[in-house]
Amino acid sequence: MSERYSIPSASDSSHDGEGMSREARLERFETEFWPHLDALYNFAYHLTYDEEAANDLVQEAYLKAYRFADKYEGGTNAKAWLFRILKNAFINDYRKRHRRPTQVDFEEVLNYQEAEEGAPQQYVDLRQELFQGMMGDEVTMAINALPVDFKTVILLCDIEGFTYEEIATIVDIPIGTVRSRLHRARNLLKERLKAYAESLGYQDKRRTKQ
Amino acid sequence: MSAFHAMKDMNPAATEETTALHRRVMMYLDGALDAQEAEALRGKLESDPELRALMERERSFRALLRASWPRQTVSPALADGIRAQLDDVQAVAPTDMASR
Repeated sequence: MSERYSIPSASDSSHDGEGMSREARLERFETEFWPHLDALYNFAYHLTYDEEAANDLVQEAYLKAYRFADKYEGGTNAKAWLFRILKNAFINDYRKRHRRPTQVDFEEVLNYQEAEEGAPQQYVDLRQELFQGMMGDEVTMAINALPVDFKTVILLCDIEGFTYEEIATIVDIPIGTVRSRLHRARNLLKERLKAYAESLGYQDKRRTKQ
Repeated sequence: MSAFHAMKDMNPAATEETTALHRRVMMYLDGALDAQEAEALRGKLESDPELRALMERERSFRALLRASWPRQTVSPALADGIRAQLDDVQAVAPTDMASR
């Protein structure tokens, strides 16, 4: 794990932020942390599907970021740092709610089990005319129907623009898993959109070669 | 027929190679290839119109995703609430924060 993404842990609750003046912390908060409020809220909502829970998570993440601002290396990647704090807060909340004293990682929270790496997957090539008329609710519904772990990597990569390395750090999975999960997530989405298009009578008339 | 598609008709190993090529296209669009790999792929794209078309379809698909992604709006109350609590944190001397 890269040091630049070092984040406060649950056991750091006694941290007093003495390594930085209050003014400097506030300046860092305003200039580097606050601009990511919308993105952070969307990530929180995507994890919880509950407005109130998302609000609580974002608030917790921001207060922790402010308090631990001296742990963040200024000018590096505040967005990835904040996303990771929020993801850890989500896991901690989950652990509290379920009264589980042992370590719970993101994979357990999402109840996700798979052997992703090493399993070659075909690329699903969705013909453009099949989906070009679906600019509205159909795509949104297909996105919402994705398993949360698949939706997470698409959100982090395609919507928020994080690199594979950053996603691996945020979600705590190997880079190879990021790559294969993204591949599977996009394929799953294409298959669903293709099925939907075909239910409307569209057909992909290309030769099937794969 | 492009080399890209002809390759798949020749032998089973070609399917694996095609899958690997697809993966490189995806990684290229994700900005995950190093400079040398990206340059090699650009060479293939220049000589293979079908592969180029596939990449354009993938670009369109991703644009569709971004346009359709369900975004939530942050309530002003949340932003105000965070700032209000921030004021509370600031009002506490650093040495007192350990007990919070």
